[in-house]
Amino acid sequence: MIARRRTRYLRTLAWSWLALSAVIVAFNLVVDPYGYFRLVTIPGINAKKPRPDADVMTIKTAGVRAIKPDALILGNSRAEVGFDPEHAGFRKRALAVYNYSIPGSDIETPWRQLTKDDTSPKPKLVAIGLDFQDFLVDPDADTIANTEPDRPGAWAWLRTRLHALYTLSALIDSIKTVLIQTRPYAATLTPRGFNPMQDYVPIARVDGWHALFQHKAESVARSLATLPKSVVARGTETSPPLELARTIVRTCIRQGTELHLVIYPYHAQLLMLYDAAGLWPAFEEWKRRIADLVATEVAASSGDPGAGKVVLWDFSDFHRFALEPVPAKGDRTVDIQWYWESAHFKKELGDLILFRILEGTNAQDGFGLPLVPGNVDGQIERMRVGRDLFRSNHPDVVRETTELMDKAQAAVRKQNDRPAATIRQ
Amino acid sequence: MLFNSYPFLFVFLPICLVGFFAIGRYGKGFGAAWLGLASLFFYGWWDYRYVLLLLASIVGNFFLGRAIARRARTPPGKRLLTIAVIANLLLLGYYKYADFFLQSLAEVTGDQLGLMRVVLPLGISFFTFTQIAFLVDAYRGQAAEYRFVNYLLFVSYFPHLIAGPVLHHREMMPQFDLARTYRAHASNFTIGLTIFFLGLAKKVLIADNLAEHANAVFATSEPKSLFIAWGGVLAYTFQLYFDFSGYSDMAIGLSRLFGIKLPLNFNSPYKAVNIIEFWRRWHMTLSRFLRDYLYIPLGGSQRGRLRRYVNLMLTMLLGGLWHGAGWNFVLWGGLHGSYLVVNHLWSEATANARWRSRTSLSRTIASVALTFLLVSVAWVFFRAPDVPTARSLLIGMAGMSGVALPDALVNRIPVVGPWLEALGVELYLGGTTQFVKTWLWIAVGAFVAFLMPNTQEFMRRFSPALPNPAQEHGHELPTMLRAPWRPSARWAFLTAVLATLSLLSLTRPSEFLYFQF
Repeated sequence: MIARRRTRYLRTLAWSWLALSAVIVAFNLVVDPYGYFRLVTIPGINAKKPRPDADVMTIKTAGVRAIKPDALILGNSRAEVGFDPEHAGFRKRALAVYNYSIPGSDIETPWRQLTKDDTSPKPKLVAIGLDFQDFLVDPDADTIANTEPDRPGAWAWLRTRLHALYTLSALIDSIKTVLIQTRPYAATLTPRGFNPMQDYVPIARVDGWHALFQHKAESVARSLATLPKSVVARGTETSPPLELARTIVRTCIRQGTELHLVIYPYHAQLLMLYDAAGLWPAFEEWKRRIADLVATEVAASSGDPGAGKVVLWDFSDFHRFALEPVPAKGDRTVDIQWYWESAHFKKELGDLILFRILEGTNAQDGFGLPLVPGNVDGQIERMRVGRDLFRSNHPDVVRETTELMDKAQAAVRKQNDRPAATIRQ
Repeated sequence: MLFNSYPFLFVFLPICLVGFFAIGRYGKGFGAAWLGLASLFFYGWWDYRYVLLLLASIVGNFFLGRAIARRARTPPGKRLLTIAVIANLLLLGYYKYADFFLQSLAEVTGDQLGLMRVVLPLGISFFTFTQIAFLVDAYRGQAAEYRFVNYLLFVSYFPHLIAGPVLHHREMMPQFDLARTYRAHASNFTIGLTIFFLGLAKKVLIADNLAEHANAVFATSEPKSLFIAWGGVLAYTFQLYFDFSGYSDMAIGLSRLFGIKLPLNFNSPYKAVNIIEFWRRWHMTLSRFLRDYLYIPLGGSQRGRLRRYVNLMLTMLLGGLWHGAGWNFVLWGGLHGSYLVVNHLWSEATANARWRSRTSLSRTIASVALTFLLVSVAWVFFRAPDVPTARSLLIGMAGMSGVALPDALVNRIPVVGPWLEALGVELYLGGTTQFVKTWLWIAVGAFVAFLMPNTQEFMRRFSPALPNPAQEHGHELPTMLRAPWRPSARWAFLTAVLATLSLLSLTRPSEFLYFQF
């Protein structure tokens, strides 16, 4: 009798586990929070997908494979939240676009996506956001870039899908997917890889825009304090990130892809952080070197009728967008039109950028200059004037950014002075 | 191979179990040999080169033990025992303490000494202690001669090999010798699987979720404000308990599948009303070992009060050093030694006080809270990578680095903001999610640790493990979920839910904290 009861216990345990597992796998398969399976789209159940906290590259790669776009938006989080693949300019040119930008990535990611990854071969058009910080290098570090990609094999593909079916995080994300369907301000990722950042709206309402800008400024200051201040390796005219950019340009020219390299429209607060960090000379040198690099590669392909068009766009300046005032601390009444915080611009500003680069229209005077060696010095000088004017008109911002940088640099110095940790086994 | 991994659960364990019962039918020796070989394979999965070290240690100690047993309680036997214990300690010393010794020497002399970078073989502290106990008992005439295959299995037995419990040959060898051990019993599977899944849930559903909140705070020596410092320390306090007691539960459950009962290792240690009781509830098999093979041989409490306290301090300092080669572990051991001395002095001073005879819930709660506070403070040294980090945390816990809360959190609690600012609480930007998750997970940990029954209480009707004579039953906090487990359909379903959630969490197996010791 006792033995029979024990056997029944074991049988119930085994069948319950199997049944629960089957239900969870089926639920994850149908809801499909990462868009790996795309079996069915049910409004109110799984039409909206949550923005992933991890494995963004894998999820977006699956998106690219499913959509098969003929144009790509590449870059880091600034491109992901700023450039809408549904923009009218793309539609006008009948381009199916995917925002393949990866938050937290540097120039190596677009290089891999374009030169090593066969997910989207030979796109007709590519727009890449260039971030100055990604081009800062230790002048004495190894100048050879890591050119060996980690190609995911069949096992990695299978493991990713199994994780999407039978993990607690997948189950939680599936439940989250169902819950966000009726929430207007959820953190989502569109089917074309765009991050609308709607979750920032209620945060800004409650905490105020000042808090968002200030928090970002603190985090950027901490990051800048640890970065080197050189654009090229010692004794050379180049650096690993510049060489990766060169390979990207060459690849697009060779395969006839129209390439737009976009220097982001940083907010004035961020530009003043660069200034306070002593990075302004490097910022100017970077623009010169990028302009030279693009011009050299374009010139080298001038006789090739099938060569892709390449344009380097500079949207970083003290233009009226970058000068949009940050509301005062505690002010929750004033709204911000163009930025989420100093490092991330809104879709509204991204739309103007896309109009500029896709249609060549310049409705906003001086916003977005095609940068070439012939005009780079003039642009740099113009920006210096803008910076000096900003310094004199906004001493409070200058003081705050200087204090933030001083504090961040002091913390880094303290950390570096710390004695080595004792052995722990 | 980790218990919390798919290869272990779905490949190694089933093969090991089927083989054990199939081969065991042909004789106890065959079954024991199969389990011993499987245990060596389990150990070799981590690094096959160290299997030879483990085997050499087992073979050497087995023959030394036999030689010592033949000369039990004689001067030649004592000389042999001394040589054998020194050999074991030298092995442990080389692998665990060589670099610590060199670095400490370099710090004292100011010389630049190269470190040996010796890789610590997994479980060396555990299998060394287990065998020293065997040798000592052989000398005392308390260890009978055993068959080699049983001794091999006793030392290498995979459920306990890496992180304990610290087994004693007296309680294991008779079980290896029982014929019924080698036959499959539904009751063993029922009880074993339930205990295993309880342990797995403790590890992957609670400890692993607390880990990230503890790690973030212990990562730097930067000043930490009050709530951040306490958040990190409490997260680690609960992480360590659920990680290690989860491992012990898994070991007890796995062993039960093979029909072998292991000794209890935890008995709700954070419910202890004083430090003396804490050490009877925390890592009970190590406490037993330190008492029987270190504290009592040093003289215990038999040579006067002063000597008793000196012995206590020595035992705890060495116990601290056993946990890791670092001064922070020595500090941790010293702190616990001091706690124990103060606890004993207080007990003696108040032995005749009238209030001692009356127990009340409020006094129990206050005593548990004070003990928990002291234990948490000591964990700072146990977890901190270095002394500056430990110092910054203790300063933070004392409120000397200020009191700060996330701005976004305060914004969402009406009226509270101005009141907090008037009290001098600073507000900082960012980190709200991390802050809230840290304290929520601490609340989960506290709820389970303080208000739920522990595994053996939950399974009390079915003698889940070998009893520990030191097990406390005196002071108990009221617990929820009083109904004990029984092999019913309802409990089978609830166990399946726990098992499913735990198995869903195995995608990123994390090592157990006690593997490093």
